[in-house]
Amino acid sequence: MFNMLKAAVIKETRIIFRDIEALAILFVLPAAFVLIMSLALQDAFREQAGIKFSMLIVNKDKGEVGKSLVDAFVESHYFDVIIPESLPDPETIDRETNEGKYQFALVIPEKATSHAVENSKYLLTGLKKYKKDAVEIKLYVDPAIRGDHRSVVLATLNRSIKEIENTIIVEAIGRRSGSKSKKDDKPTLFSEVKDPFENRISDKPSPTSVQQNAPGWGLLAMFFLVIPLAGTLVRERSEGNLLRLQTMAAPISILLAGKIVPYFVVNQIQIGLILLEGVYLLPLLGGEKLEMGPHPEAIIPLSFAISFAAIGYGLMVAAFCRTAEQATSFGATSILILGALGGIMVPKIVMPPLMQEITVFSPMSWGLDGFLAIFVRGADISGILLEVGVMLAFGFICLTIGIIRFNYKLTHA
Amino acid sequence: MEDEEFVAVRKVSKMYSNSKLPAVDNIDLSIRQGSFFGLLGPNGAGKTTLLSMICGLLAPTSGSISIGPDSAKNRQSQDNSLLGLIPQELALYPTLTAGENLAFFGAMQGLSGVPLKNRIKTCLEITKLVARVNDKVENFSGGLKRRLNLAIGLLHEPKLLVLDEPTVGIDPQSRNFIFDSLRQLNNEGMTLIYTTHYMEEAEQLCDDIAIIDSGKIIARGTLDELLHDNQCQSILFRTKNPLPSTLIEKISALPFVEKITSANNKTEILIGNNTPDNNFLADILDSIRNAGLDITSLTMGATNLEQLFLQLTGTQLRD
Repeated sequence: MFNMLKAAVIKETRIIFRDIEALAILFVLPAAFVLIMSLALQDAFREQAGIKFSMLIVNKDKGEVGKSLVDAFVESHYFDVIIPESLPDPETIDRETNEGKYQFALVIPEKATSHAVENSKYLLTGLKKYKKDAVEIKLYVDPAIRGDHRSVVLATLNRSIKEIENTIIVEAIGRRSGSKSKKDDKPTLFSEVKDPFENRISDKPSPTSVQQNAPGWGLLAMFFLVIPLAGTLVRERSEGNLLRLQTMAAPISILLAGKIVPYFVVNQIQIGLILLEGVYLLPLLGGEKLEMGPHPEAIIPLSFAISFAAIGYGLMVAAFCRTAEQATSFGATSILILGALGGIMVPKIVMPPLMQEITVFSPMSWGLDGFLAIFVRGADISGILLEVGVMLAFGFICLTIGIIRFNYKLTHA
Repeated sequence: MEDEEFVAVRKVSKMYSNSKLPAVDNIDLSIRQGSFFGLLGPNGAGKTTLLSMICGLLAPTSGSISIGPDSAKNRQSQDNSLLGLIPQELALYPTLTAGENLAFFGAMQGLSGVPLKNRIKTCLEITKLVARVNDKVENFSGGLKRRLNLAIGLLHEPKLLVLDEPTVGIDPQSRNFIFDSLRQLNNEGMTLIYTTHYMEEAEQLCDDIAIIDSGKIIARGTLDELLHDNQCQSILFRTKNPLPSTLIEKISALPFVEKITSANNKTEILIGNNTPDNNFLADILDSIRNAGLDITSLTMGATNLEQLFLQLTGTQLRD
């Protein structure tokens, strides 16, 4: 029996690897999709996850104003703050922001704190000896930045400046009136308005473009094995191979097992190559690196389960189709529909609630959820058991229906 | 030994769920060991169903089939090692080489290692494919594919070889080669069941012929027996002048005449199966003489299997 299985596996492997069209569908197309879609949707996913701007802050001030402004931007979730070791000149800053090296650059002038404090004294006393020019904080902007994003940054900056200004004035008043209230004891007149979605958003995974697209298109590629698998099986039936095999010593289950093994291996190679593409190739082409989370080993049971589901589906399609053309066209169409429904082409997070609920009917949705759990939430194997279970159940149901139908066709030919 | 029954079909019927009539209707058939048995019939006559049941691919609705010496066993419970099937379709993998196809099907027959290699070599020699062993089947001609198809069926040295129209779409040279190979196998003691729509193939090859129609065996015997037993069923004659249309109409109106065809002074008349005696010949000859025509030659009975086949199964087109 082992020799029969070995022969069936070798036969199927040869057929797969000599079918150039099938190889293109299984390996080249998804790799190209991952590359194109990950790069194309990079910015869109960044926005979805929360925009982060790169901001160079050149702080020439030694006092509280410079420190407060730097702190305000560092604490904000929307900025990647870069503090240069040596202070660049204005021309360099202007050139580098124009070139897009930084999206924003902020220059806090020398003695900004002392000038602001002096001015606050002038405000309270009217003595001209305290009068200084208004502190000029300069903002450089990458010309490619959208207007609405520029407005958001300006609003953040001006709000911070106003806060600092208020603090300095309040402190000056306190000093003048002899109040002993400390800086941190200032009364709060208005409570801060908070983002009502802040907590909900943080619960949901916000994948990067490559975290969405690599497993997404990888899943689609794995299911695309339906085309060669169902095609060859239907051809074997219509061209008399199965008829001949039925009169031979080998049970038909050996022939089916001979298909499952090589396609399972093909699936593992597919997902392996796509993940490697995300980790190593995409960054070389200017894309983000695929971050696989702290438990990449959880990918193994997940991809095994997905493969089982895909092969089961392929055998079911083969059992119900009469011609290879029917199997190819139905297989491809149904996979694209399952892919669209499963959030491969359009991420689930941008779907309306009803559509998000419908995605449970696509096995690819469960597979993608499994990958996102590993990549984004850092789930380990125990964290993806539900997804693995659903995929295995889907595969088992398809396989059972397929075998029943297949046997019926063979005995009622 | 040669007269021993090798295939026993006992009162076998097969009824499909989507049909009101049986595809095979209570057939009794015994095929001798070492015979070259031809199973002929028009499309839809029931030959594929009967063959499928003999091959164990279909279970009979009633009756029993057995092959080989253990006739007590039902076909469904017998193993398939005695039987080799050469299906009508080219049951091959086109992207594999001839050798790879043979290796796969050989393994599926339970062969492995040196015995498998030896059998592949022998079958390639029988079918003269040794030089093409490493060529992909997709580059083969129709004849080469048919020869490989035959080689695969011989891998496990079956005692019974079932061939379903094995020469469809090939050139006369390849056909002749396959005939020679089959004769050789038969001479070595292999029992063959051969179905074909080419009657001259059955004439050349088969020493035992059955004609099946509407699920029943309607004629059985050697070629000579079949032609002799049905000799009064056809009249073929030539006249000096062509038959006038009025005479053709008159003859075709005779109650026993099933069909008349006349062209180039040559006329063939098929007589209905249920015609009781030979009086019809006098009636026909009287009609011709009364029309003032001279008969230059006259032959009675079918002269070949094709004529007999058409006599027995009719000339109506089948689905």
